[in-house]
Amino acid sequence: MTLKDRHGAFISLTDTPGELAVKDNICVQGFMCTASSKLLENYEPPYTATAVQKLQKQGLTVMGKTSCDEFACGSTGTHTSLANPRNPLDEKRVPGGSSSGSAIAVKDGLVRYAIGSDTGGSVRCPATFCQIVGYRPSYGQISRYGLMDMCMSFDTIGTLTRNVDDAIYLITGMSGKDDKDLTTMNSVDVKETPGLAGKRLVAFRQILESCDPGIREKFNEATEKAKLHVDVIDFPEIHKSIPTYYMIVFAEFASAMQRFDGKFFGKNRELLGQEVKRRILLGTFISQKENKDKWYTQAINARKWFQQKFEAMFAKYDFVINPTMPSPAPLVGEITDPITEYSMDLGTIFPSLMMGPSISLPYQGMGIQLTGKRFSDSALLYSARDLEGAL
Amino acid sequence: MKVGFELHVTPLTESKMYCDCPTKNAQPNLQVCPICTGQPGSKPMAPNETALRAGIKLAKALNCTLNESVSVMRKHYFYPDLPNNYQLTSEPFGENGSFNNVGITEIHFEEDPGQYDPKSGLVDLNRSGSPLLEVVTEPDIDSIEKARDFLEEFSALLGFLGISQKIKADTNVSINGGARVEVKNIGSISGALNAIQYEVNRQAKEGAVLETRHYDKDTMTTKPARLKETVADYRYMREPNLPTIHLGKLIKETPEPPKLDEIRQKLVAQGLTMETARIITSEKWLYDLFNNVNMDKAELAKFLRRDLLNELKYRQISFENSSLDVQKLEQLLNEGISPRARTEKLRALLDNKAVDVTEASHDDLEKAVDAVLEIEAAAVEKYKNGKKNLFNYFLGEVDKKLGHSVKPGDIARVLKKKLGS
Repeated sequence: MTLKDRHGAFISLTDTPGELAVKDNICVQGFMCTASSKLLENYEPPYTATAVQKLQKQGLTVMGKTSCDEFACGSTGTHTSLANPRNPLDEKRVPGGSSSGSAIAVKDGLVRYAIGSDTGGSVRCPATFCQIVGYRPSYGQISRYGLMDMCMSFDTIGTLTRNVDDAIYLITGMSGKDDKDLTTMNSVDVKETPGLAGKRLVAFRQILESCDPGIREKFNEATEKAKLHVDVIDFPEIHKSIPTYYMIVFAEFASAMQRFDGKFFGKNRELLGQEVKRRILLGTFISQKENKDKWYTQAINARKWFQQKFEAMFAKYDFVINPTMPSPAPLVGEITDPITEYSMDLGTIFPSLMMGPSISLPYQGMGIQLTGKRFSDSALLYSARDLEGAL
Repeated sequence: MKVGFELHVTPLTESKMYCDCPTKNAQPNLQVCPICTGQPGSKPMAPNETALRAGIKLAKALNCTLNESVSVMRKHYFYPDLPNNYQLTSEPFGENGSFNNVGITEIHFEEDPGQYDPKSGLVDLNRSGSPLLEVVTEPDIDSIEKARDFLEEFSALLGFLGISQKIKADTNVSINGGARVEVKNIGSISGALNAIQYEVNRQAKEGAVLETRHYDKDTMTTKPARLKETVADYRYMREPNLPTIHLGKLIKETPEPPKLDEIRQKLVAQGLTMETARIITSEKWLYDLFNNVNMDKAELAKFLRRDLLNELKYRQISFENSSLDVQKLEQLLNEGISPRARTEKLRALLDNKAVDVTEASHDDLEKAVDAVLEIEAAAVEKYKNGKKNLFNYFLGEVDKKLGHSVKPGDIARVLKKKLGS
């Protein structure tokens, strides 16, 4: 290896130079695909994900597969025993997850482009903690064929780049309908559109209040600096987005993990980490016949409620703006209980529930997130480019 | 006794249900792809339209109420032949039907698992992801006769509609209001009937518990399933990777299938026996052939039943895969040659042999008769003196001489004329 992978970005790495790093839960022929799990240490996929194929056709070479929270379960980026991902800005701190390695690889300049997966913040969180740009596309914008199922109705393939232009380049290359992912849509090409001027922005008081005072201060400073007019509105139910999201994640994740029983895929399930086991058990529990109505069905209904609420909101506003993460990157080992870790996702979960695109821009150690309605990707990307220039 | 069926029909399709892999036979594990082997990250493709159309046709023929939108569910269970450990199975697209006086609870589509051989422990995934239509009946059957009648009619319906020849019949049997026993692994009608009979006797003797058993066709008995196959909870969950399937257009495009009974009655009115009518309508290609070949229908039916079906069966090939087609058959049937010559020629065609079966001319026939009578002068004498049963001997000799190329009736006519009786 000619590269200095000092911060545990890669799980597998080629000797040939390349421009693209791919999160290790996305299949690329020629590389193992471990999902950062000991369980899948020896899994060699016989195919390449559609999104990666499209980028390869554009001339990008995959240089390696990046570490992440095991099976993309986590917000710190450190839930893995196959690598030791650390924040390049401060090695005592976590890089953020789950797409930790992809963020590190870009921040350390090992690659220009990285892709990850974003289910409830997994590219935007590490992008914030590592101070780069993280983009989650609309659900259905980019094919998930080849991305290991985590929570199928929220999973997306997103990008981690140094700037918005690089994100636009990747998103443009990967977008479009794929017969192998029936949730993808036609006519979702990314086109240059008018930017931020005249866009109506809204922020939720409850999300702002959940942030550290320092983060809130920086957020206000940023909006002032960029001369943004932001309506701050009350949205007390936003706190319910966390249980809504996690109930659905647990149930779908347990289903997705069903195949890793060592018969065709994976080894002994004992090799799975604590967080993955927790999610499988909870997911199995809440999708059981006797519990389903109490938990899973309620969460599905709540998601519908959120979707309707946001649909009405996007009639009045173009984008929601908020700090991506409520606090700076935690110290390694600082977060010990899952509830604290889940609650870090308050700012990144609502875009998943309403299937819209969401981008996080770095600003003085924190992240500024813009979120639009589903398939407003072009408008969001070009507005974010304007905001990036203004910050 | 109370019997109900879960009939698994494999509709004839070129490719699998959720991927492009072909469905035809091959060496183990060659017709597979990331999707039907459940590779992590793979997603199902759009459901096979041919399978959907076949299902709608069948649902209509079973007089079901059709649903225009169905979701596909994940049914979770662990089994060696199931790579994902969940099976994709749709919500019912047809419900509340009836066929042959048996209630049809519902019909839905699903994907076949692979094939697991418990002896060797090997799994072949060629079948994994192949389309299946599952028809669930009410437990309306109360006798072996009714079970046979239902299965035979159902099988004939599948053939007539051109959907499939392949059914598996999971059979639920209970007696005297006791527990329901599910018998799987039944691949034929006679197997189902044997299993029912065996279960009725066994349950009367041993009593019944709610369980799954496997039919063993060699011993014609049922045995408790080797692996646990009934799961308390399949944790049914909508497959998020598949949007709702809208069947409205396909339902509209599928014509109301003709009623099998009415078609048979019509054939009987054309001079066919009921049995022949049943055989002719038992397979779509045969019925199409019957309609498409232009000749006397009663005679055609006889030929199809006695000659064509037998010759195909003997060679173990289907009409479609044989060297025959409607034109060739029409030509053969309209040549006006004797049935025997026709059979010879049919065989030659099927075997791709250039056997030239030429019809003997009237002159040839006269000459042959003369020649035989001359050689057999002594016998002719005896015949004339009253030994009339020698007639068949002469007929046989002439037939041999002509290489079976003339209708026996024609030979008899000439013989009678020459013998002057």
